Amino acid sequence: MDGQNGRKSTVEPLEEADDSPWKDTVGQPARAEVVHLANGVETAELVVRARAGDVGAESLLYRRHAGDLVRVVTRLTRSATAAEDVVHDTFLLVFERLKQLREPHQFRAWALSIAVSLVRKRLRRQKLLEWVGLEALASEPLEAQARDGLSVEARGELAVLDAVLNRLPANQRLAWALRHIEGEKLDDVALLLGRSLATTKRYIAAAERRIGVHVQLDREAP
Amino acid sequence: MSLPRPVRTVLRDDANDQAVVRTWVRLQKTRQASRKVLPLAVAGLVLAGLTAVVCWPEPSPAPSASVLLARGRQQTTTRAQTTRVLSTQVVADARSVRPPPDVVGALLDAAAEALRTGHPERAEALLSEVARHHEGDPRAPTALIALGRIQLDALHRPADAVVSLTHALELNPPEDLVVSTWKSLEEARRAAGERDPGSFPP
Repeated sequence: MDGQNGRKSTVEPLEEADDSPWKDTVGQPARAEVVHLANGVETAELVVRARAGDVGAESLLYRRHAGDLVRVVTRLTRSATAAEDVVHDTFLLVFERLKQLREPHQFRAWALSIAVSLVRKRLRRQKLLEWVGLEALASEPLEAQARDGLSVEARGELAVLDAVLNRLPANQRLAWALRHIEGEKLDDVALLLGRSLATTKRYIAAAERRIGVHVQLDREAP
Repeated sequence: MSLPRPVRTVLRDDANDQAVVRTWVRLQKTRQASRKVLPLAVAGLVLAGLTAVVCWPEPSPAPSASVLLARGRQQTTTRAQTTRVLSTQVVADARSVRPPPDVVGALLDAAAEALRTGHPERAEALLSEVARHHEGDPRAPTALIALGRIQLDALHRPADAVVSLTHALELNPPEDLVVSTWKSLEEARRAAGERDPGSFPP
């Protein structure tokens, strides 16, 4: 095997210090031989190795995708704390159900769909607090996540968008955010939500009607 | 003024490395706990069965038929009870480390729906269920806070609201709800006729 698939890698071996947080702390002997994995190993290969019990592959899968998930979930929940909780629960389920993933190269979409489903649950619970007048404050509203140097006007638009999104039902809010904040394709949004394409379009259109009154987005590229 | 598509192009895209590492360490601890407890649970279950079957003392010789029958019934019942209690404890321990099914989430969803459709009594029953049987769940304080507000505003039972909100504060509610919970408690105490309802910070 060559270094590309990581079986006997000599390319950028991942050597962990004893106190490294990435080092496996579980202490469970892995069922497969644990080898150093190259950073360039395909995600699908990592999934296969993680299924066989390679904790190094699990660690690398996490490192490769956790940052992206934290960012997306922070934008969806508007809370850094909630994002950490969701990503924790997501990877707990991911590693538990890894054998159920039929297409290993779809790992990111699969993990994200689990995260989206957990976010939806959280947003629904949030409604309970709203009904009793105790809405928890978002620690990371969209305007607080703006890039440095963004104009005051654009920040104002983000604040309005954040407020309108927060009033939408969970499914509409998630569908619109995945489509227009994250830039996912319509088909992918439907997959991530676990809904049909028609239903997803309906959610987005319904959200668009309420958002469009307050905030304008650039025209979509043809 | 319009925002670009996708909107994330004007949002920060820097990775929060600390959050990623913190979550990884927490994940490892959770998995470690579940890996330790599950084999113990299985072993405990087997041990409970063996103890009940092997170690039970034999009855003394030469009793009458009616005594034997009565003793047999009693022993069978006691042995079954012992096995059942031990098995229940072990299974409960094993279940406590498994994330799904999300019973608390379903209860909270149902409570929100009950409020939406104008049934605060039903919402109270559902949230009480969370408080009674899922106190260890991180969402229990939130459920108790909601319960307290329902008892205060919709059901007009401030004394019950005081109990629920006090319980919520004992369970360390989310930081962003602490101040409003203290204020709700103060309001409930006033409504319940307490002379010195206290104030926040306590």
